Formats: sequence, C-alpha cells, structure tokens
Amino acid sequence: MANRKIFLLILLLAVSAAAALVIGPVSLTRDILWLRLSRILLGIAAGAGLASCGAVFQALLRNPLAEPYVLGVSSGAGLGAVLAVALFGYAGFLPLPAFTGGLLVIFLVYNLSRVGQKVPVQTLLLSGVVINIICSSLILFFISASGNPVLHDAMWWLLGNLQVFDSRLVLASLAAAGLGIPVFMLYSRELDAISLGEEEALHLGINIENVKTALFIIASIITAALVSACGLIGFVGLIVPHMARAIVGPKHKALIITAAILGAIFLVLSDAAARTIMKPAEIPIGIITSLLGGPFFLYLLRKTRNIKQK
Amino acid sequence: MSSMILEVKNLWAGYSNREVIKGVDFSVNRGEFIGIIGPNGAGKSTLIRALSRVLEPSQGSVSLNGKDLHKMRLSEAALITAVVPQDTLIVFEFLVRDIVSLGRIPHIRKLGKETQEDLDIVEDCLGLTKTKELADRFINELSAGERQRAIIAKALAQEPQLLMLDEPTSHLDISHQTEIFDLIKSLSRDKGLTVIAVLHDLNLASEYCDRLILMSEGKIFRQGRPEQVLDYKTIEAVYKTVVVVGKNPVSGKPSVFPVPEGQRRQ
Repeated sequence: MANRKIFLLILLLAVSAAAALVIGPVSLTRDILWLRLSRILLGIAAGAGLASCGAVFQALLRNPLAEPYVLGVSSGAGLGAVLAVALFGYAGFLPLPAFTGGLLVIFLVYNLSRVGQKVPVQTLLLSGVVINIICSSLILFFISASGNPVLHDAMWWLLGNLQVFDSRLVLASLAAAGLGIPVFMLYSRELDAISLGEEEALHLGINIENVKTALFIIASIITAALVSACGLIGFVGLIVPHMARAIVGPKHKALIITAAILGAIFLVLSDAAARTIMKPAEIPIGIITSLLGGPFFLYLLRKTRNIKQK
Repeated sequence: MSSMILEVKNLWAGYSNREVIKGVDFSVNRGEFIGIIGPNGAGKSTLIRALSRVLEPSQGSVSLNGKDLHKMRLSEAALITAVVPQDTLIVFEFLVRDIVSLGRIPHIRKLGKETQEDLDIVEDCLGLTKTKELADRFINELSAGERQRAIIAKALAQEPQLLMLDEPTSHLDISHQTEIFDLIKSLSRDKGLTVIAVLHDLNLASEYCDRLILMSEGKIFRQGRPEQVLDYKTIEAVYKTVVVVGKNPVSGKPSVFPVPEGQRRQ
C-alpha cells in the first residue's frame, strides 16, 4: 500500500520536473534548458533534504513544530557569510563561510545543552531558539552597520532561491541529501521508538544518546549544506513531514522517503512559480514556500484540532 | 537456570549530586510478583529507573540472570526486561498495532525485517491484553486505560522474563485498575513472568503481590509477605499518618484504612 503511494509520488515528481523544465519566461534554448535543469536538480536536493531532515528533527525532539532550522543552523550559516564579508572583506565563494558558520552554531548549541553524557532535547530546543535570535540580530546589525554592497547579495541569498551560480553547489547538495536520506532510513525503527519517548526507546534496548548524536550531526550537516547552497527556504522542513504523515502514517520507514519525494515536488513547483509569476523578475522561493506553506499549515492545525474534538 | 532472576546489592543511585537510593539490597525469584511501596519521595521510581538502565548507579551492583546489568548491552537487557511507565504521551498518530510491534525491536537484527513469527507474537499480545479491537485505532485517541493496555501489550511483545511497572494504574479508575492487575497477575501465574510493580495504592499492593518491599528515604524499611509488612505500626512510622489495618473479607489480605484527623482520639 505504502509502496504504491511512493511509486505514484515518484511519477508525480517526474511530471513536475518535466513541467518545470518547459515553463518559464523565455523560450527554450540549450543554455536555458541546462540552467533550468540545474535549478530543478538543486530543488530536488533541497526539497528532499529539508523535508527528510524535518521529519527526523520532529521525531528526535518529539515536537511537531520542529524543523531543520530550529537549532540555529540557518542563522549560523547566515551569520557566517555576513561576518566573512563585513569583517574580513571576503569576496569569494560565500557558501564556504556559511557552511562553516552553520556547523559552528550547531556545535555550540549542542555543547551548551549537554549535561554530563546526556543532551536533553528540551534544553537543546531552548538553546537553539536563543542562539537563533542572537545570530539573526547580529546579521541585521552587520548588514545595517556596513555599507558593503556584497552584503546586499548576502541578504538576497538569505531569502532563499534556487539560482545556480556554481554547479558545484548542485553536486554538493545532491550528495548531502543523497547520502543522508538512506542513513535516516536505516534508523527508521529507532526513530519510531524515540517518537514514544527517550526512556521508552531505551527500554527497547536503543542506545538513545548515540542515535540522537549521530542523527543530529547528519541532519545538521545536510541542512548547513543546503542553506549554504540556496539560503533560507522556510516551511518545507516543517510542513512536508506532516503532509507525508497524512499520506503514509508516522512510521519512519515509509515516512522519510515519502517526505523526501514530496519535498522535492514542492520545491520544484514552487521554484517554477517563483520564476514565472512576476516575470521577468524573480521572487525569492522562500517567499513562495512561506506563502503556500503558512496557510496550509493553519489548515492542518484546524483539521487535526477537529479530529481531537470528535 | 538459577531460581533468582534479579539480585540488587548495596545499590546507590540518584541525580547529579543528590543520592535518592541509599544502599538497597534485595533479590527477586523467577515468577515472583513484587510490589514496591512507600511514601512520595521514598525512591520507588528512582529504583525502577536504576533497574532499567535509565540511571547509572553510583555504587553497588545489579545482576540480571547472573550477569552484571550495567555491563550488559542495552539490547541484551531489553531481551530480558520490559518496562511499563506511568503514562506514555505519544505526539504522532501511530496505530495501536504499530506501537505494539515496536516491542519486537530487541528481537529484530539491525537492518533485519519483521518475520511472520514477530507478527504472530504481536497478534498474541493484542489478544492477551484485549486490545485486538483497538489495533487499527490511533494510540492518541484512546482513553487512558485503553492506552495503558496497549503499552502493556508492547511490553509483552518484548517477551520479557521480567516486567517492571511504575505506578501503571495511577491515572485509572478502580475497574480499570483491577482489570490491568488481573491481567498482569494471570501472566505471572500462567507464564511464569516475574513482575516488579511500583504501587501507590497499598490495598492494590496487598491483594496482588506475593511480596512487598516498603521503601522509606531511599532505603528498604521492611520487606515480606503483605501481612508481614502492612501492619499499622509500620505504616504509621513510614507514612507519618494514622491508619487502621483490617482484612479484606473475601481474600483475607490486609486492608489499610486511613483515619481522618477528627476521629483519631477515639
């Protein structure tokens, strides 16, 4: 049953990708085709990666509102890029300081939350929220205090878009998502058990601290890589896992892959919209995903509340 | 196999720098139904947490089937013991059957698949706990009593030799309480399952347990058959309140009645 649904979703992804390839403000030439293809590939990597990371974060934190950015990776990446430009006059490859910043912030958040050998998820969530706020304020401070025009580009990039200015980024994103998602799937039973609670998982013989550390590190590396490549694309990691649960249920064996495919479809279509709605101008895809995702999330919230009241 | 399943020697355990369990010794024989009783803060739940590897002890030893529990791999311990907590809050919409089949995790090799045997055991446990008709409902839509039966089914799907329960019925009314304890008692009698249950309700403990361990301030105050532990002097000393101990006219087990302050002079 779940297999059939997943197969249908893969078909839907193929159709969406084909549609995204031909939709656009200009007629198809070889260069345009290549450009759109690389955007579609980046969209698939980012959508699949963010959605599957979202599912993993929600299970590990046992919080349906968790998403890949919740522990501060995104604002860390933003701050990394902005600091490199504002303080060191860096004008090179921005994803590099961004990736470094994202990982440093995760390392900081994880260590701030550690109590002896354990990392309680409530502390982790709170440290993530606080670090997010501090980093965001610093980003705004440096952008407003410095007159460096490169920072304007950084701002644009922070809003999230799938413009490919370097094809190495597409490869790196595909590699991060492509290597990480199978690992998440290998841990699907552990994720099911941790969804019940950490002590419950421990009673089932699962070494929760090891599993948590491994999955947080992998999910953070994927998220940092994707934020560095395409900026902050909101709501994918929050909503798509919920859509996937509505389709195949909460068991992670089917959930992870379903979320990944749905995320890919969502971003490929959102990017096609971002390119065409206000042509020839382009809207940052992060704005599209938030505008589509926000109302959908409210709808989900109301729907689940109605179920609870029955 | 020796008749002893669990042996606890001079166990000390607690949180960061506060010891809660302060030197506890006891042993449990196969098939016994043990009740752990005592006032709030006596260390009952902490004891269960130390026996189920949630807490590492600061001193002393626990041996399970003759092996040092805290040197065992977690997955090995999960093949022998299962734990039922007070309540399990589940955020996502898992089916009851999905939850019960999680109990098979310790038996399935990493990357392995569920076998027909695993599925059969899950069905058996649903049957034993009378949760078969709930199997295709969402766990987060059940009542507290139904949910607890499903969680017990999950614990049984682990095929444990030792089942530990931490106040499993404190959120349930008297009919659900007896239903759950009748179930556990029959498993203990018919399948030789060893049971250690933390209980608040002294009368429930008296009716169902072969042996009671009364804890006070992190130590064992007294242990023995219910009639050896539940006398008014012992209870008044440990709980610091006035009680009268009578007998359940049907079972003959001791029954503890509280005495309100206004009537204590009589």
